[in-house]
Amino acid sequence: MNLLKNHQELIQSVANGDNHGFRVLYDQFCDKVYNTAISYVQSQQDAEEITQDVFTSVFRNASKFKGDSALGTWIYRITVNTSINYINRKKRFSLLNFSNEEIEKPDFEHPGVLLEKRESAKILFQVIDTLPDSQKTAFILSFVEELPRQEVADIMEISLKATESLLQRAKNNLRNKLKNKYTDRRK
Amino acid sequence: MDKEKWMDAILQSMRGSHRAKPRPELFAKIENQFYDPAAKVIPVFKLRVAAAAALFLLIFNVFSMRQYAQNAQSDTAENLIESESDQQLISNFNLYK
Repeated sequence: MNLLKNHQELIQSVANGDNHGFRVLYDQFCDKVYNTAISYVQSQQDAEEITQDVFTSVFRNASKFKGDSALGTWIYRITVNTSINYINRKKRFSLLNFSNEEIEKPDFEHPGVLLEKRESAKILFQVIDTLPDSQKTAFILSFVEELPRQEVADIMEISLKATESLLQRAKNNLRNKLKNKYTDRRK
Repeated sequence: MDKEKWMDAILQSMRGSHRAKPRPELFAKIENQFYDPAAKVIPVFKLRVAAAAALFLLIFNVFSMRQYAQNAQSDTAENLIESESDQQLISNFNLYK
């Protein structure tokens, strides 16, 4: 209850143009925003750009936050939408290049992954990239951000059951892609 | 390693990881935007789109101008031939000789 009240006061201070309040909000949420964004775009530069856009949006829309959801839920939701829009804009731009060649992305190494799991995480992010947006979102929020299922449901504005269903489909899709990779490894 | 175990290991590879952190200077960049809206950082790919559009227009204009110049030249040549043949007609048309 205290956290809720604190967050309400915090966003109110941002809405009132309080710089200190904005700094406190940034410090509390920047890692969550950045970590979520980098899981989508798999690039530190792009993730920073998204983080910038998210906090700009938070600053400009602070007065519109009604408290229907938790502050963190609201910020995560902005992050998810901004990340997906960013990826889609980039895809549209690459179509304008009229290039038939697929630009090969270098393998993404998440900066926070444990050393002994680095190679596995590289493969994980390769296959996450192939998921449809909704499954990607459910998987990133659940298994990278490690949020509780209900919070994932709140962020995505769907039911808990729908979230579980999305996660199941995401894992099935990932397993199918991984089966091919396993076969390729053995060759 | 067994295939199922290998896949499980991949799917669980982010368990226990730390959150990635942005560079410390990112906050200053965000703040500067609010104090100087004109200093908004334009995303690199937007610049690329603008550059590609400008290049396309330039190439299109150069091509159009060349086409226009070529058409103008051939028009002049045709006019010259026409006027020469007209002249012959007129000069051959000596009714009063």
